[in-house]
Amino acid sequence: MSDPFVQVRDLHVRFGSNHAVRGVSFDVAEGETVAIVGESGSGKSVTALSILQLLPYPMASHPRGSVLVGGQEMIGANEAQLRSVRGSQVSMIFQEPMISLNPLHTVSKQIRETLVTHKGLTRSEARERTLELLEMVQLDDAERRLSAYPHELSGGQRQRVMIAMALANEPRLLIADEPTTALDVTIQARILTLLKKLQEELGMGLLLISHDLSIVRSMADRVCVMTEGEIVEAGSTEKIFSQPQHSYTRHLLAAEPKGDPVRWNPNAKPLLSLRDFNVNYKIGKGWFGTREVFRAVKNLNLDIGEGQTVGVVGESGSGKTTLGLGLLRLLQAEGSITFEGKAVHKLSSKALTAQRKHMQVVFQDPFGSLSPRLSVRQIIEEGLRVHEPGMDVQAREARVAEVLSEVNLEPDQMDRYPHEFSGGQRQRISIARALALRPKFIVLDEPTSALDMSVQAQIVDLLRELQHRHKLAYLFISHDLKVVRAVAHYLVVMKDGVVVEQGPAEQVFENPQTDYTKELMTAAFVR
Amino acid sequence: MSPLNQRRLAMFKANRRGYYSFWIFFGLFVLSLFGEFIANDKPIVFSYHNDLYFPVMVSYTDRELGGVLDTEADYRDPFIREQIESNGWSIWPPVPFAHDTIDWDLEPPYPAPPSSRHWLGTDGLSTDTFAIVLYAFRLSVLFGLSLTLISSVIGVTVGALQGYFGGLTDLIGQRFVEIWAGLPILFVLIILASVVEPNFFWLLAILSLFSWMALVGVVRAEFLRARNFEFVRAARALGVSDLTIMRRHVLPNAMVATLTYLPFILNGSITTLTALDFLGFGLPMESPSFGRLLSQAKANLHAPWIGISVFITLATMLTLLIFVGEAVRDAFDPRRRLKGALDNEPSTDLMESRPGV
Repeated sequence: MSDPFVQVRDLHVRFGSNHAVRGVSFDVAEGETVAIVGESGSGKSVTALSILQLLPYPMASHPRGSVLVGGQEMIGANEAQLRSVRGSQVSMIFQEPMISLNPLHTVSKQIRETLVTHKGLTRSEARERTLELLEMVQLDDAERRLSAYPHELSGGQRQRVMIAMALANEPRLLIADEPTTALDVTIQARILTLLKKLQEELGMGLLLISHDLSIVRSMADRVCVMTEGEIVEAGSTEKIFSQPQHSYTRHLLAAEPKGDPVRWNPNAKPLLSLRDFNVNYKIGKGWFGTREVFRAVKNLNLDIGEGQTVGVVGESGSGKTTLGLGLLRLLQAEGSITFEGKAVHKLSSKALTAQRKHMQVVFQDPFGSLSPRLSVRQIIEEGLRVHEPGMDVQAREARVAEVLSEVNLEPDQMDRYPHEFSGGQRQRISIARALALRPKFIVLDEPTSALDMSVQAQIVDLLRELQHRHKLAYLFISHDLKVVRAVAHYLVVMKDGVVVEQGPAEQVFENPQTDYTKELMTAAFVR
Repeated sequence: MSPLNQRRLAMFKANRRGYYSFWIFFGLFVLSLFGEFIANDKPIVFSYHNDLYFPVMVSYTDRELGGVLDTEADYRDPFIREQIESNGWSIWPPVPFAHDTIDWDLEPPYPAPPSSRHWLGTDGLSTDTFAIVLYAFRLSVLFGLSLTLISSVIGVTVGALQGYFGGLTDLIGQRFVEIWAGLPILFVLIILASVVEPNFFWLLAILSLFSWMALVGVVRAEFLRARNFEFVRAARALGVSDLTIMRRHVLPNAMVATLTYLPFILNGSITTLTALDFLGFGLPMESPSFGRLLSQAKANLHAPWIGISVFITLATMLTLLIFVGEAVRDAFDPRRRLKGALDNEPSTDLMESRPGV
């Protein structure tokens, strides 16, 4: 047998003093799927980019190592040699389909570009081939989509176009860097099936970069587990998942959020109820006349009891985040919101400020939700300054220290700034900020989605522990059913602003009634 | 100082051109603040009948120095000189002329070329060019700083309100700014100049009416962006008031853009003042001004020292400010990295600089 198509040997990558990749070796043969898994910062993307020499040189450098693509050394190759490999022998698809396509060019133009550059096809030949490619990636209504601009396509469709572009020159290796991370679960499943099918048809190699173990498990023939710039374990998928050798691999495998929700008494007092709850966005301009209205949440009825977790699941655009913001009255909403018998929807802005003490929120993005210019202490005590103006400095400091230790952070770190903390720690700070006011109810808007798998599990554990200790009620918004299963007592499935299904969590998970819920469950659990 | 600001300071220093420009400009400005001790028609200090006198700080009458008038003594008058020299001593500034001192001792024709008596020559009224340049520099910078301060405060406030509240507030604000920006400033100034006698503060007020719009767009954009940040939402969920949110959470974000603009606004203010003075709608006749000196230069093309002096001073001043502005912009640019500094950012940062395949 001839040598594998791509051979990476003892690859090192440095960014200044940061040694991002330290001595990585692996092969990818044609027709084979190799996955590199690791958490963010493990160096997996950098490794993939080194193959095509796409790192920002000279900021990045390779002190040692070799990358052979089809027998040709890539490190130190000149631009002309690199260009002959890039896009024609090896191509790449990226995570973010929103920004990977040029917004000013039509679909056909973007694909045609590669065809004309690398193959020298004429316009009409290129058009034909483009159409063929789009049909190959199963873009529905391909003929009409040729003249579409990226903004007219959905995320999944864009990713299909990206794949079509990558396949335009029949590459021998496709590098897929988190190809489905930015997509909804049901679409993820379809894109992955497509990739698998195309790989078999075209016989190319696939290098899959992912943090998602379930994707890797269903796709890859061989797996390399990367952490801190090194491959700690490599082997066949089966072996890695059944008999992990290295402690880090075992840690990764054990990291999936699991366990059951905190026990909850179904007869608990009702805390919050929504009746005929609607959130509308006014779209369409015009000084006079009727405005067009986009109904983001339609006629929702929901009861949350003390200490209960209500999970809200749905794909992007289903209105779940809008629901959370609306019931906190951070967005204009219609319908009634009753909190402990108080009609929140009728409160004046002053009374609402006082009411905010009882209803808090934790957002998804641990980087965006903390003001970068305030210290942790300032961030956490902000609410106290508003709601308990009588509190003196010592008492405030004591409260900040108390909530920090409740979320398992060291209280003596309170004078540091958010950027000194990792994503998981920042999320703990966000939770501490919400807890500082001793609320009874917290909206958790995708609290784990932006975190690495192992950190997700820790945050889920923390949330459950806090719920148990303080009898907190949660509205847990997530697209990730695995996480929701670990926390929710009651489940609401939303699609396009409408509740498709709602009921006790166990019942919905075990016995979904609607097709949409079934599809979600399939995409999330059985791969 | 927070680490962020330390980094910015280091970044500012790393732009050596801008850093030195800043100190040169600052030095020149401080020097010009003490202009009375450099170029003046009064001694810095003199002794008369064994008493010390400080005419720069205190006004002494002619009578006190042995004359007959009750007005302030004219120290260039031979009689007063004689009085002081015979009854004590005096120390004169290096340039014994103020910006409005007419040198009667000089033989015509005026303007006189540079000489040891007048380093940069004189203008058409036999006034020392160096003294005018010195005082005009001070006045321009002070005027520029005041105008910049006033217009930034107004601009930031208006931009902040528009951006934060959005909707109708924003709509009305934007249309108002557009209409206001459409007003022909020069004509308004000419009309106003005929109604009131323009002095420093009138000009400041009138120009402020029109110069505040420079920052509105930037600040508004920053606020529009930042009001949907999660930490702003989180603050609203905590019940923090709008004003506090704007001040504590959003304004710091907008300050970067604002500070980056400031040196350029300062430059613009100085240029505007010079232009108005040149056209004759600026400061009153007795104040020192680049613009008026320039128009003198235009009227006396055979006396190039006037034009050259003004040109070099203005060009130096504006260039220094541009360099400072560039350094400030570098300092606030989050993407720029210190040369030789180490990159600790993880690989996720690469997405931005990654070219397509």
